[in-house]
Amino acid sequence: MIGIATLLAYALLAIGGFCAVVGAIGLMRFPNYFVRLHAATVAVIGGSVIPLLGLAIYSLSIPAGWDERALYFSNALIIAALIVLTSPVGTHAMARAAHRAGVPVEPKVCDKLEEASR
Amino acid sequence: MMLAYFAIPLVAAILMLMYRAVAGPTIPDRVLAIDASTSLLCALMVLFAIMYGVYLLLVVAVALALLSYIGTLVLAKYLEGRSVGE
Repeated sequence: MIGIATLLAYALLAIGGFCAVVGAIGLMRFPNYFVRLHAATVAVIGGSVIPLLGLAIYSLSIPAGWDERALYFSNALIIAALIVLTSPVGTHAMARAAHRAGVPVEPKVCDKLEEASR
Repeated sequence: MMLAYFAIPLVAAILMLMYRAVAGPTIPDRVLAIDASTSLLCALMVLFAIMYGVYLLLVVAVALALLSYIGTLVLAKYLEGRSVGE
């Protein structure tokens, strides 16, 4: 007999694995750096935060004591919150720094930052 | 245990990101690939901690998430102004 919480955790883990593979394929195949940032966001938020939420739900039903379950649950939630808070800041800083350092925007359609900083 | 099958797409994604980290044409590509694979490694470490009952891996995952953030910010600062710590 499988519980409803375990089923929800498995669904979240499956969504997370799908998002991780899709983001990694996008990061392999996309043409330039600023397009690859979108795929990296899919890989980080979809592929790492959603499995961590699923693992937090899963850890409430493992055969262990309540203290050990609470340890796994709280640590998974803390790591998910850390990744959600710190990943956009790092990505934004890297995008700005890469544009300033002269990383080429190869199939260029529109570049407002270059026009503004000229 | 069914939890082990969910480690397979995470490991496949980390391997594909390692390709981009090795073959990336510019430095920001490598930094981006390392950052994304570190976040995926955090989820993988929590999965292994729950699977094997080794709760010391949770501490490693927290430290890895924070170190990835610090490293990305330091490298962004280095690329932007070529000077760290002003």
